[in-house]
Order: sequence, then structure tokens, then C-alpha cells
Amino acid sequence: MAHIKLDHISVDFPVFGAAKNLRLAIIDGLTGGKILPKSFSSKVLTVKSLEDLSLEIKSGDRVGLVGHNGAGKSTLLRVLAGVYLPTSGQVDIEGRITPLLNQTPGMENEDSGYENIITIGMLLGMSLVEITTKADEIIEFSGLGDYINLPLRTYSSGMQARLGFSICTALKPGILLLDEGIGAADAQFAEKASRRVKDMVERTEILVLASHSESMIESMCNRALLLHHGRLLEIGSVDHVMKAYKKVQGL
Amino acid sequence: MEFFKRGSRLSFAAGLPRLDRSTNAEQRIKRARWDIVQGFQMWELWSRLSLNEMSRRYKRTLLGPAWVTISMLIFASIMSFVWAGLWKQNVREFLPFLLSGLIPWTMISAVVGESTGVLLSGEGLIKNQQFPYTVLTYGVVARNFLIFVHNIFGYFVVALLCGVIFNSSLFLLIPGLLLVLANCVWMSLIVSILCLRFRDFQQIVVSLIQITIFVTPIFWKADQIQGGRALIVNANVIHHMIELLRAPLLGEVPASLSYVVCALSALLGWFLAYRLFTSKRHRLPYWF
Repeated sequence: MAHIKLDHISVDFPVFGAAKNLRLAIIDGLTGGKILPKSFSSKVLTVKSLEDLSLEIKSGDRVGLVGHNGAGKSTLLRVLAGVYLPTSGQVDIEGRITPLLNQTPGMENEDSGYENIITIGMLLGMSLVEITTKADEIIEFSGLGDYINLPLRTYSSGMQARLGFSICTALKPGILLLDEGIGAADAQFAEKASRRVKDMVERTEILVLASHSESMIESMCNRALLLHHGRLLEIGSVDHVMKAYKKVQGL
Repeated sequence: MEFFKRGSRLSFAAGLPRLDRSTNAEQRIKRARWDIVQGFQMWELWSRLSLNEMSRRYKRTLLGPAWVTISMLIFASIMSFVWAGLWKQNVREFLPFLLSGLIPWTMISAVVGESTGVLLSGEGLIKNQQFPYTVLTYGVVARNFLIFVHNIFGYFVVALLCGVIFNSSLFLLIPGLLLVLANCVWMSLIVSILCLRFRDFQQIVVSLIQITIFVTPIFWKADQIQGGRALIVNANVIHHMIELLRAPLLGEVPASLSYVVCALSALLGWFLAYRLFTSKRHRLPYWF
């Protein structure tokens, strides 16, 4: 059974300036960090992206993340994807995670579409055997036909997006993390893609979706949470959270 | 230890240590160890990444990867012609000597040089999903080992033409290679992490590499330097690494000092790399 539990997590991003780097780290090391005035100390400036967030998601939940830009939606998705280990607090996640955050991590322009399928499939955690057996299905879904043997640089951006989407969605996920804007390419494929996403969402145990689109969240989610400046402001039914979101936006 | 047992046939998602309720420090160490071990087991992936990179580099060229060896041979031939003239040596002796040092040097320096940017260019992946980051550094080593193998074939042709007599010491190439590669892996790991955090490091490493080629006996013989300055040679770990490969290629046995130095540097280097990686791996995605 897939489940997610976040316990008082915070994520702070260091902001490194070019000048405040190696030089100060060395000086700091040599001086024991005592001689320099406080403002010069190596304590790097940090930006709080998520603050003291606790959350429990159970199997069967479809959670929509809302909040304005910079509220921490993407960061939260990346914490769930295991990219960021929180600066403080604990994360407890069970289940196979499929992140659909970037459209195409690791695509190589000079390689053919087929080669890219194999490489990216392996990067996503499939074994060579596993991805080779899935390749035909992926090619068919992408609708790229003979283009699959041509180098990626000959593809239009829409075709690249189709390929990336088809590879990423070939696995049966336990926990599906979706950032909005995935799969949106040409109209015909977008329809096919949204059908596939819906199909995946049905098969998946947990869905976490970050989106600005109210209709998308209303149609796909049964819970929602509102992030505001890295804090969890509201959590509950989609209706309730959407109302709160509008209120925040109105201010 | 459970996650160590899963085979490479399984996808790494299956062997991934669960994000569980252990403390963050335990979590950190567990994941770093998983990364090093699982990353290595994913040889299918990193050998593929390095093969792809190789074929990409020479796509649409007539001779393909043979260019690596050809350009190395051209460079070494012309250098030998000039240097053998300068030092009044025989080109037939000097060319195999130069090549047998230049080829290992190329591998070691390219591993270090390419490691400066390997994590930086993996940003898209690192910020998208969890996977063993060491796959990227193993890939750097594998790619340059592949180039080394290419070059060695070129060397054998040249050496036979120049009349180098090989003997059973050639088999010492294998333990030598294992030791050098073990060193390459930790160097790659440390350099890639430091370069991600401190961007100045990239420049420092590049200029160090430029200096090292002249300070290390590659174009000249180790016994040409005498007295106190011989320390430049004897204390130079890179020299000992090259020596482990160069001597067998010239039909000689490497000095036992070279084995000792390389083994010690592998141990110490791995200790440092392990310490650095276990304490900083979880911070890498924050450093872009």
C-alpha cells in the first residue's frame, strides 16, 4: 500500500553568490570563522521554500496542489520525488514513484528516438530487458512512426514532447507526481495524452498534481491543499480549498 | 544491508532504500552507500551512456572513434620527431616511450577534466528523480577507459613497428589498470562534487591539469631529474599511476614503490570520497 507521510518538513535553499564562495570558505576555514564580521561569515543566505509542513496522503488519494507561483508546489513535488531531502523534518514514503516533472530529462539530440527510449527508460529505473520489451508499445503510443529511427534533432518540439511523455508514462506507477503542462503538445496528441494520464491516474494508488487550472484539479482530484509562501494554508475537499485559494488571490 | 543484495537485473527503483522514519543522518548515509553500490551495479546504464557519448562525438565522421587514436598518433609522432632531435635520441626509442606515457595520462587527465562538469550537466536528471548519481561519474571513467583501449591498439601497432619487445610483464597491465581505475573513480567523485559546489574549482582543476603534464615525467624520463628535485617525480601520484601502465607497455616491470603509492592513494582517496559523499550527497540537488 502506497502512502506518504511528511512530518514537519522544511526546505531551505542556499543562495550562493559568486564572490561569497570558495574564497570566503577558505578564509573562514583558516580563521575558524571568528575574525570576519557577522555579515561576512560563510553562513549562506537561504530562501525558505517550504516551512514546517506536515501532511499525510493515503492510498486512493488524488491530491491537487494549488498556490501562486513560488508558493512551493514544485519543491513539494520534488521532495515527494525524493530529489530534495528536507533540511529538517522527516519524510516517509512507500510505493513506486513516477515523477512527471520535467518533460524530458536526459534526452540527447544526436541520438535516434529509439536510442533515447532505451537510455531514458534505464534512467527512469527500468532494466535493459524491461525497457526493450516496452519499446514497441512506447513507439506506437508516441505515434512517431518511422521517425523513431531518426536523430532527435530532426523532431519538432511537439514530437519531442510526445516521445518524452510516452516514455515516462510507460511504467505503472504507485505514486504519480504530475506537474502541470505535461503532455500538452498538438491538439490531437493532447487528447490522447490526457486520456493516458487519466488512465494512469486510475491505475495509480496516489496522485499528486500541481496545477493552476481549477478545472483540471476539480476533474482529477478528491483532495486539495493550498500552499502559500511555503506554508500549508488549507487542506481538505477541493471545493473548500479552491474557495480559500480565491480568497488568497483576492488579497 | 538488504538493498545491497538486489541484482542489477532489477530496476533500481526496486532497490531504492525507502524514505523511512530513520533520522536524516541515517537516511543520508544509507542513500549514499546505496548510490555507490547500486550505481556501480547499473553498469548496463553507464556503459551505455559512455558508448552513446563516444558514438555521438564521431557521428557523421568517416573514421569514427578511430580518430581518437589517429590524432594521438599524429601528435606523438610529431612530438617525438622534435623531442628526439632536441635530446639526441632515437625516434624509434622515443616514440613508444612517449606514447606509453601519453596514453595513460590522457585517460587520467580526461577523467579529472570531464568530471568537473558531469554533475552540472546532469541537472535535469538530478532535479527530476532519485537515481544513483555515481552512474554519471562511473560513466566518465568508463568512457575514458574505452578511449584508452582504442589508443592501446594504436600503441601496439606503433610499438611493433618500432621494435619494442614485449614479455610476460605485459600481464602486469591488468592489475595496473585496476589500480589506476580505482583511483580514477574516487578522483572523479570528489572533483565532480567540489566543482558543483564551488564553481571556481573547475578553473583550478583545469589549470592544475595543464601544469601536471609538464611536471610529470611524460615527455622526459624520471631518471633525468636528480637531487632534491627528484621529489617532483617520487611524490607525484600521477607519475606512479602512469608508471604502472607504462612499464608493462615497454616490456618492463613497474617499481614496487609505484604499486604501494597507488594502493595507498586509492585507499586514502576512497576514504575521503566516501566521507564527502555520505555527508554531502543529499545536498547536491540544492547546489544548482
